[in-house]
Amino acid sequence: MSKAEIPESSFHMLDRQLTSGGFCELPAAPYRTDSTAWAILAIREDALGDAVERARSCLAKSQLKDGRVCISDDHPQAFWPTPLSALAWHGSLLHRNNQEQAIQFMLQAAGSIFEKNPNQLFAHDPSLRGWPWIENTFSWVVPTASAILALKLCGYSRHTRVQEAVRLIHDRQLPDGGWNYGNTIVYDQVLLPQPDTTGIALAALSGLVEKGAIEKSLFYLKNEVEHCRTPLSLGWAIIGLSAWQDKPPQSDTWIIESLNLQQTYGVYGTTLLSLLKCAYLSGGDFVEFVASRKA
Amino acid sequence: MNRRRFLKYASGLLFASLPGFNLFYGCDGKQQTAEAFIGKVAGYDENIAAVISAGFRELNVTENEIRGKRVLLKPNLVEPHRGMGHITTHPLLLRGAIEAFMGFGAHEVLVAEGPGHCRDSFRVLEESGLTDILREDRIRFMDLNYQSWFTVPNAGHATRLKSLTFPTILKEVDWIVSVPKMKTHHWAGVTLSMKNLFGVMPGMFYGWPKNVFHAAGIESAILDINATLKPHFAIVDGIVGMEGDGPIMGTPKTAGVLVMGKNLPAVDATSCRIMGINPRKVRYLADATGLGPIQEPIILQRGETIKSVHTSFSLLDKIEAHRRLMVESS
Repeated sequence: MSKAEIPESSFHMLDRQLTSGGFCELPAAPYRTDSTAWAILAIREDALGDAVERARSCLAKSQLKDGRVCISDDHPQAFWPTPLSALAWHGSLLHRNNQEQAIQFMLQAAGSIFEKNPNQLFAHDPSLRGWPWIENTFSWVVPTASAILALKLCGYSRHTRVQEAVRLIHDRQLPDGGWNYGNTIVYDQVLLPQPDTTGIALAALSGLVEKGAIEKSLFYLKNEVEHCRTPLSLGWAIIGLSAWQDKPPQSDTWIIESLNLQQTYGVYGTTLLSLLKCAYLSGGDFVEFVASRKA
Repeated sequence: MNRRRFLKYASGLLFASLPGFNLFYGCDGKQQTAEAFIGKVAGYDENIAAVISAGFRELNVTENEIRGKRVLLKPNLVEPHRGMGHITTHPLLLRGAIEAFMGFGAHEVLVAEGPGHCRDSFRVLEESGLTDILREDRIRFMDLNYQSWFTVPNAGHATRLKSLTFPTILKEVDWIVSVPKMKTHHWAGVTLSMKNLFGVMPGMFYGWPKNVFHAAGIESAILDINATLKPHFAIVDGIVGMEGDGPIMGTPKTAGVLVMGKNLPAVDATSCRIMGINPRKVRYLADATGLGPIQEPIILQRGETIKSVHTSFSLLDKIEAHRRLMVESS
């Protein structure tokens, strides 16, 4: 199936752009930073006029002085949209400073750590620094992988924080290769993997580790994606596999099937439509995909 | 009050005079009681709606209280995996609850959850088997991880958290009904209707897992959420629960019961007793003094007796939270 078979209207979200330039998650909903960042990644080459720059400027107004971008003004601890924003500002001369401030914030922010203890009840190493969802909590797979993607895009692949974060992601890999939200073995029980977290972890590790380190992960995800049609799991699974030149040939068909699920679940949010569109367009490393987009 | 209940109540008053024994008193200084209904349900193919409706009547929940009202059912869908139905509230239990509330005249029943381990809420619905039930019954689902929100002062003060942020839908409905799975839990001892309310807290503010509450203290956070939210009802799915290393990796345990009531500590305490666990050994229940009673003599038992459905759930020596529960049973 060629890419032309998914019409652009299937991913249509420009009517969700508010007068402020920002995007809402669903029609008639309020502005959200994560929705805006994802929309920018998805619409960059298709948007007419200044839609993308207005969205970026709106996102810039949400940035706090220390560089963080939060999910809402009244919850500054919830800074997990910061790396997404750094991806969204990429390529804009007008927002170069915003991107750099976001990156500098990421480099000083970290999840809580403590020393590994032989008597601890879980297997992972809590002394490794990654990134948390929420300030003053522990590091987890998705925010750490998101930060790695943003830092790679901005040329920080060799930074000590990226290297430590790669070790953290590796440390949170389940014995059979997949990842979940970030716990591996608790009370001697191996926990269960999830496709979305495995996909984003693989996307983050692309170019930073040898393929041998993630062969089992690819095996798990290639099997699992056959059964994934919900957009978050499918989107990240395809992006993760694509990052290792293993994009399933049926991906476009599966994306169509996922879009059709809106008949059951209602219209998808902006973040999910954007993720599916990126999965549809991306054929390789996710960071290279973001960097290659025009506008 | 029959003779058996009178004796239990009287023995409760006796215990109440012992040093260190926690009693629950209302604003008027009187000892408050609560009711809990136990219904036997051998399997999910039984008429669950009829059992829940019978429970409503036994608990004196009238049609007037439900007619025209909006009801939010909050199941436990923390991390569903196909073929592992003992992790999550069963979809047919939810269907029974929907039918019972609609049968009592509810204007709308919706299902809402903010899964704690899995951000893909559509996958959560598919893996748990809930998609078909919601579609067939035309029931709305809301992902509480990403709804509009309101923030209120923390009424519990058990943690250092000054305020709590909830999804707006929780103040728009008339009934918030916790519909948990009856499970052991490797951090909190057990997870029942009170712990289940972690899942109403939005992931976008509290993370996946809801790590802010782990950092603040799981047991204290359970108390704060319940004290601030003030849920209205609980229906515990103990038809098939989970024993051992819950809440995810334990093994299925058939108990064949539903436990229901308006007071969540009382419902959870009764569930514990059915599981062979002393609720006073569960820290957050022992500390739930201001939220409801957990002492057996002042929980007015409706439906089946605890003894008739008692099913010991396995606890594991290696789990500290379980070791605390093994000291004594009652």
